[in-house]
Amino acid sequence: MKIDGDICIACEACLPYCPMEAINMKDNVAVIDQDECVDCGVCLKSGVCPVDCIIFEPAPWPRSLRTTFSDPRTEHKETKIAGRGTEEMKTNDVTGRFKRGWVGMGCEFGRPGIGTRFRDVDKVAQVLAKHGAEFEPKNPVTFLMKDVKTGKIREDVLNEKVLSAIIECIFPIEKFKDVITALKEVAKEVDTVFSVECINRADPDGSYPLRKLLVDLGIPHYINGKQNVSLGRPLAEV
Amino acid sequence: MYGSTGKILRVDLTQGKVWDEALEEAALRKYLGGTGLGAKYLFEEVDPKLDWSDPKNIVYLGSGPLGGTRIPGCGTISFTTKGAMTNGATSTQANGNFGAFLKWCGYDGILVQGASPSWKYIYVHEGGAELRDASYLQDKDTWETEDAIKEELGYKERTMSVFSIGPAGENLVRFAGVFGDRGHAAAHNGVGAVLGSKKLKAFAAARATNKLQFVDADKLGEIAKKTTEGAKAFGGGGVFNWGTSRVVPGAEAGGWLPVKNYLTDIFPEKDLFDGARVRPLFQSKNYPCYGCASHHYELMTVTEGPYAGYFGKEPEYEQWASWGPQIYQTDPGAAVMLSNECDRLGMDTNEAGWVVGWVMECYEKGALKKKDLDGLEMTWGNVEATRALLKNIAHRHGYGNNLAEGVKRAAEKLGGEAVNWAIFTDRGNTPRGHDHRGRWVEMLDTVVSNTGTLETQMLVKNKKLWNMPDPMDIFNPEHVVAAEANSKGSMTVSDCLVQCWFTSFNDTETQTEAINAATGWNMSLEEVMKVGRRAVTLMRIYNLKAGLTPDKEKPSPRYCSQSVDGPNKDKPIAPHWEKMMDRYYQLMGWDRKTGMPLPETIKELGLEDFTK
Repeated sequence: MKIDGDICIACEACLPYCPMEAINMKDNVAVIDQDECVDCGVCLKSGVCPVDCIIFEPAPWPRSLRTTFSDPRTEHKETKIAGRGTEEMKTNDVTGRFKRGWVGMGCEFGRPGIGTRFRDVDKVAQVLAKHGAEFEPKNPVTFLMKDVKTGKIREDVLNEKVLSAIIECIFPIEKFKDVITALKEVAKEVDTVFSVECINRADPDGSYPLRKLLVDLGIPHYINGKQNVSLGRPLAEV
Repeated sequence: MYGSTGKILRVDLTQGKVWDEALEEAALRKYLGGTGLGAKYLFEEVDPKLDWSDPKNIVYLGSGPLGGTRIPGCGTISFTTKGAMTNGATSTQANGNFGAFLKWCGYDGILVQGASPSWKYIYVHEGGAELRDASYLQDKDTWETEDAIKEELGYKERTMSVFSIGPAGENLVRFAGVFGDRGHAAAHNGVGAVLGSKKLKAFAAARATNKLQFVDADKLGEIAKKTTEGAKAFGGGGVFNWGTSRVVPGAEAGGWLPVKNYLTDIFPEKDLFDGARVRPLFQSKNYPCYGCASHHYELMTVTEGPYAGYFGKEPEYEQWASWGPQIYQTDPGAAVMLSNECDRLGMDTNEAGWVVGWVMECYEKGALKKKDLDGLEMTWGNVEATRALLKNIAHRHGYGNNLAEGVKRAAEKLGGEAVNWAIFTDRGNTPRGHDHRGRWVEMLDTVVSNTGTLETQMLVKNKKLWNMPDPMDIFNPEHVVAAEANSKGSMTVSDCLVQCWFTSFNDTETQTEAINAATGWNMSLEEVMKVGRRAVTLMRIYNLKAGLTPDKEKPSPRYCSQSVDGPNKDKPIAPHWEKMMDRYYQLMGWDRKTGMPLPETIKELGLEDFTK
């Protein structure tokens, strides 16, 4: 996003709208810090500028990623998915992507107010790969990996900043403890917030295999069905 | 120098020359800028005995110490001259962007002297200024002039500010003004006529790189925020959110809406003119001034009635008043059209309203007939006849030539009973678009004004500081005089700073903080308050030297008549008038016989040099 400094009247009306706090006053006009701006378009879409001097021109690669990751209305050209990730675990009753004995995991990086750079996503992805995680092929972060075996993300996008990004992966439940321990370790080097969500298929008797592992790890857990698309009538064989 | 560019642009139109002139810091501290500095130039350079149209008259267009900061309302400019309505001192302001752009171009103000043999305009840009040929702009209206100059010089909307006179100014209509940035007006006391007499069509300032230096830029940023917050809070945000667009219904309820040339105070259609109705209906869009987040200034397109499709600026309250109730017509779309036509022709909407209302009353009562008015049927509310009459006035065509002299002179020329129907002061100026029979402070202020328009405001933010009666009874003669005398200068401080009242609300304390953050002068509140009073007093001394006598400080019979209906019909001001004036002179420290400020008043304000 840019502001036409020849037009801006310094009314400061746009400043509070930026989720990244990237708009500041400089020499009597509002200026957007290009390094911090994630091209989410919230300032423009708010319609708050009285003189219409906020400009968006689609950026070339790799900056184009900022918009596709940060503006939920845009579609990733490569994956045809709008927003940050796939439907992941929300529709498992229907898709059956995560079967018994496996753990599906999502790592969500950044939030409005802080965002994330792919440099941080890269660190975590490599750790996950090292512990045997397989990445969801339709996920936009996976698409940015140089090598899905190592989780290494392409060099040219590492400095790109986005509102938020999600790694989606799957691994056998036996590796769960190692993965969590490694994530706790790598978190120290990550320069943003990230949260971890897991899915694990309940056994026929209703028990939940992850519960014991979480207790062992000393992690308080809250079991939430993420069926916010729909519960669905079981279709898949899991 | 901090807060100032350290110079003004001098323009001698007779010689066709422009040059830079340095400003002295001591003078800036004494007068701040705008109206104050303009009054000083006027006093020093224009013999009070000269006629306003003499080439030796000057026009000072000034910004102030806060111009070019992002404190809201500081893109405003103030004009000072010897004006055509009173043939006396003038101070009139226009909002917009010009003040900020001018200072970024490197000038605190532009001082115009002489008269050009052919039409010119002044172009100020980064690193200099020049006089340019304006012959191709002749007879263009003020919006067309703005467009034409931007096109000629290659500027897009909002990258240049243009203030120009319309046909009215070119034809020396006494109440011609200067208009720019899409209908902002500095229109009091005939500043446009003075520019016309000099053959100066326009001022154009390009948006340049800001190189201004301030002592504490961070503090100015804080004050900008605080000023915005203050404006949002003032009066529950009414002005911040709606400008003056919602004033008509309340004015009618208070009995201070001018209806039918003061023949009544009742206007049943008032709610049709309420901004809350008109803005959404007419697809209004914000068009703010530099640095301002308020929704005061909008552009709109009429969507219903005979003028559907007409595009222009949203009328200010005074324009709604003139082109609705005052001429007794009830179509807001027509009021939008007439407001903009009047702006485009380059005439003060207030005076034009008093003129047209008076003509309609004369027509109704038979004092003026169709044949006297070049075939126009000036019945109450006749929109198309009004439109045609405005054109005739601006071009001094037919009877328009008489009306171009303003309502006082036109009425006196017609003579007879019709003089008693006209709204004016004996000094030659007229009120803003109010029925001041319901706003006594402003009637007093208009009558004693040394600037040709309001010098004070009842709505002073720091009531204690200015010693305002609180609570105030607006029909108590003692309160009215005290409010007028004690707050004298509060408005003028804003006009010396050249900050829009609708952002500052004359908050002298915040303004003082801002001056000090900009300049580092560390001025006290008292010193700042004195600047306002000094400018007013200086203009008064000038006017007295120009021939003003206290007996001219009088409202016309209609202006101070008793309201015939409405909430104020039992509140005539006339019985109190003489006593109020006695008390006013006393509080101001003026001699009741000569009108001259007393020696101690002059000494207190440091104006001894000006009375010799």
